[in-house]
Amino acid sequence: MGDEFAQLAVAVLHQLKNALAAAQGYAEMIAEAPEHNAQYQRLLQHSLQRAQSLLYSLESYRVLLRRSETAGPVHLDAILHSQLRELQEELGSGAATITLQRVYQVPSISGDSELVTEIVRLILYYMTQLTIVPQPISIQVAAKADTVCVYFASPEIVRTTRANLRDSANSGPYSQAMSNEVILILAKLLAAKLSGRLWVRQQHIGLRFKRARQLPLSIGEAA
Amino acid sequence: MGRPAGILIVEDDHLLAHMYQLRLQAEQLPVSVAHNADEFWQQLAKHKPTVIVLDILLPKVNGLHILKDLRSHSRYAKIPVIILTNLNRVEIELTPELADVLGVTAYLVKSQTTPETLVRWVKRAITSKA
Repeated sequence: MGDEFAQLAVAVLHQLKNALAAAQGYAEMIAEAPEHNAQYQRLLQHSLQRAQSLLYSLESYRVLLRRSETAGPVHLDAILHSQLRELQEELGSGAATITLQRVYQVPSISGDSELVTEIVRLILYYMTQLTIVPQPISIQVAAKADTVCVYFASPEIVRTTRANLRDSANSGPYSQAMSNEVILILAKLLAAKLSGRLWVRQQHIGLRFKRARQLPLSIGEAA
Repeated sequence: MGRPAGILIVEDDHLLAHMYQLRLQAEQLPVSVAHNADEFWQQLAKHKPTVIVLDILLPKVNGLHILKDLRSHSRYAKIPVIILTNLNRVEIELTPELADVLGVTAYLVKSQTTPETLVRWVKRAITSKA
């Protein structure tokens, strides 16, 4: 756990310095160029939101260190909905619009409900950092065999990232979170604690949990 | 009238890179951005910049390695390079002597460098080159 903490601390420190330098810089630019206030204020707000998320990630790690795992059924569907609702309220209508698309019915999984909630919250934060312009973020949930996968993906983000990669001169801050490893390190640590797995591809973040064992159906006559 | 001075910013943090880009463009300076070493070399092949603003902590290849590689090409040996990083000199073992050898025009720490400060240093580097 020591190495992981060191990895997390270094990543947090570096990202926090960048976020604060950006906030400081945009604040200066607001004062210098009032005609661009709206744009710079949005970027300042984004920088501060990023700093806040980084601090939140450290708090989450502290929670992780303190608690012992309690396994039980986890209602992922309910967690996703409550976290999405909270995050959307927090972000307001000016930021990303988040929608949940159920590909399949979401079954219950085994694990520690509070930790799963933390992971989902962290990843949602991560996803919102991918964008500073209003755009939809979609979440898909799929279940097969003994696993449940939650895919957080945004076709728009992928398109924008690809466009940025094609033409660096056109680079914007849209794919910022791809270099922001802090939240992912933390979410991975939490997922590992639950014996779950979290992975990142260019197009999506996947989160895999084991499904809850089905309760044996008892059919018989009462004694 | 000569070509306008082009600034190449090498910074993996997109939000910061975007900020420096906006601020320098407000001074009518053409700016391009690279987020890693690969992009840096691609940009360099397209246009030879007048000044390079270089971060140190970059994915895969760090800024100091990029700078050493850059100086090994005679075509790029004299481009002024401003280092802009979160690290202090001691952390990256950049002695004043090594900075001289590598042609570092200025060593700036992000937390102490506002966009206005960067503009001043970039303009100074352009003037000193002219």
